[in-house]
Amino acid sequence: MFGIELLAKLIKILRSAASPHQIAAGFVIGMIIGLTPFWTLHNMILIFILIIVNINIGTAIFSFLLFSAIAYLIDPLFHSLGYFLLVDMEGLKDFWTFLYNLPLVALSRYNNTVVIGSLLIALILSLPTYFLAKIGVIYYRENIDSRIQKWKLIQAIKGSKIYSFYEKIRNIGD
Amino acid sequence: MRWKGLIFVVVFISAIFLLGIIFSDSWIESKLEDTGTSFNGARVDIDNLQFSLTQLFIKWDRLQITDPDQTMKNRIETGKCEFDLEFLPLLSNKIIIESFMITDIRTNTDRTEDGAISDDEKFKTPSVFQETADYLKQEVSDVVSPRFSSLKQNANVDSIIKVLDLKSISKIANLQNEIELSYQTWEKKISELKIEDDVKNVETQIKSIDINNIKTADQYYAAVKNVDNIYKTINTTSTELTDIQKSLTKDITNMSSMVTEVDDWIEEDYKRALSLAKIPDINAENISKLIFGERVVNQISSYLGYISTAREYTRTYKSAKPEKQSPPRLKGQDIYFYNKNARPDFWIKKLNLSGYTENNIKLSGLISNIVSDQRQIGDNTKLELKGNNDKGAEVTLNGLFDYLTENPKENFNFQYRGFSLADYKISNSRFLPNKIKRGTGLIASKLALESNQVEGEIAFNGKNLRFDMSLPDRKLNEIEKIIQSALNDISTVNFSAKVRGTSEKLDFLITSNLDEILMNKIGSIVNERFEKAKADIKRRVDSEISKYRADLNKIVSEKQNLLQNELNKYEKLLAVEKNRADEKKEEIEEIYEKEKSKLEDKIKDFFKP
Repeated sequence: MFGIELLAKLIKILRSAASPHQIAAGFVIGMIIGLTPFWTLHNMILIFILIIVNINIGTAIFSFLLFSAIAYLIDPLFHSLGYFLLVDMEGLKDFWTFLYNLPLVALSRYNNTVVIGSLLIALILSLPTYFLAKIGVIYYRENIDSRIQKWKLIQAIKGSKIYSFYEKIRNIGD
Repeated sequence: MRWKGLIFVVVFISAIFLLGIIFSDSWIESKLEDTGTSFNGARVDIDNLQFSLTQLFIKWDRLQITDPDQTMKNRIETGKCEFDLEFLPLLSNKIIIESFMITDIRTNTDRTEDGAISDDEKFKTPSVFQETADYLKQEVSDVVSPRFSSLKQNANVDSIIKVLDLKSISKIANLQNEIELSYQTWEKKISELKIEDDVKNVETQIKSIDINNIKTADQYYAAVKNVDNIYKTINTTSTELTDIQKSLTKDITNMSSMVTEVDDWIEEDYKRALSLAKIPDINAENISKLIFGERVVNQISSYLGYISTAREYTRTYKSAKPEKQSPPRLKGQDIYFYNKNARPDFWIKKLNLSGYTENNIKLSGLISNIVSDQRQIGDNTKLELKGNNDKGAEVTLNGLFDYLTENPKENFNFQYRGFSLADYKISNSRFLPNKIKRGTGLIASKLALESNQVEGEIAFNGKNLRFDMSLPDRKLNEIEKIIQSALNDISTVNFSAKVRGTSEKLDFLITSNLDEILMNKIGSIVNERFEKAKADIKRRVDSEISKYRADLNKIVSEKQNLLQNELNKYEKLLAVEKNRADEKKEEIEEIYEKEKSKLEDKIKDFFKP
């Protein structure tokens, strides 16, 4: 049931008025927040950016849920990578020590193995994810959407009273 | 840009700030209480904590730290406290407190509610000195065995032996099998030897040399060659025999040393039997341990517990390369980066203390430099506390936590003199009267630690004592009666406890003036009864095992003799043949000499004129 809801939500987002750029940016921000531990300084900044800048919040929430689950699974990898960066890489030690005593940066929890490990992976993935997501949205809208709309399931949902009600209220507040 | 979003963010931040102002007090209070409780192992309560975000101060009306051993008592209770936090270090996640004053400290106060917590809530840290503390506790509990309190020491030897499962019997059986197998191998090896065949061949060869038929030089040469061959065979066989002898002797030595282990196994069984019977050794030292041990060990253990916590906390900061941990998912491991010139993560520069003890001693003192990493301030943590009362009692406590170098060091000196012993309990032991009616006391203790090396001393001196001899509710046993009657005449109690060494090798000794007095009174009675029980057990263990032991010895000596005789037999045979060969050689040489002289004579005749 949750899977269908998620799929429906994703389709809804892909068909929304938001531009591919807004959707892709939302997806990337959600991915960073999802992959890294929630209560960190960079996540707070990203959440504020998400709220203030015109980026698709729905995609960000979807991506956050998806990548939180992934993050839970690959947490040991983040820990090992973080430990490697913070402890094993002697060359970076002076840099980390400098950051450790730098006001505000010290509050970012970068010295936590999972925070730095997951953040690095999230940052590495962000550019390719952004472009892939953008291409994916464009491709969906041009090639797949019309076919999906013909599915009996979608027709049934669209024909329901609940959907009609949703259609009426969805633009309220825009 | 979403303007509504911007407004939302502004409103959200304002709400957080507002809620922070409203709820920060209770939030910080509960956070501090939880952390303190987990470290203390019993409840820590803070009353009416106030935190000012704008002025950056924290204050509270009362702090109660429950005594984990008596959870209806506070180990420490304070009055109002206040301290200021420095603002700029907070931005770097550092807490620096210039001066912290705790007034109206009182010790051992009553609690209105129980301060006990469940084991799950306690902070679990691997204690550096856990093994040391365990060893000391074991030393004391070995002495305070339940049976000691009862003199009806008639050990039920039958049931002890039944439960004991004498390990030496099965060990002896295993050894016996092993030895038998080894002897069987040797028997086979010796039986496969062809020494007898060699000896027969030699004999035939010797007999085949017919001295009377040696006429020519060629015949003589052939006979000599034959004898040489016989010698070669005898030597080869003899060397083979010697090698076997050596190897057998080595095996026999090994087996003999294995047999000597039997005594150790029997001794182990005997000790286990004694421990099942719970029969302690009664000597002067054990009497001190019995009476004062528990209290001394508790005191040392609690010191070691505090030190372990301090060390565990600073260890994270001192490690050049932190060990990789396995934290719970999504928690990670925080890595500390040392910078000599930076400020420490946590630093209370001065902690001023003042208050009263339960004996109305006015205390005042200072703890300086409670710091996360001493290297960053180049100074160690010092504790100085002193106090006195109008009745002449004085107390001083000095402590030093030195974590500046690789080897952590701690030093404590505690002196409490001239205090009244009225209603004081010098020991938790049931063998001493519950309380003292009057007297004055002195306690001096020192504890020095470096790495895992411990050296400590606790001395107690009680003068002008009068024990409260009122009888307890329960009936006294024989030992308690003897001790109590002896104490009637005692007005001074001294004891000294010393502990020294590492967890691997620790010396723990307690001596007191009561040792000899009580030893003389109870030692002879108690020892006589315990010695009889010990002798019974020893006799029984020996009798149970003696049959197996005798069997083993018999097998060892029988088999040993058998093999040795076999080898000796071969040795003798070879010796006989060697003699024969020698004789034959001599005969040949005689013939040679005779023929030689005949030939010389003929040559001389030939050249005669």
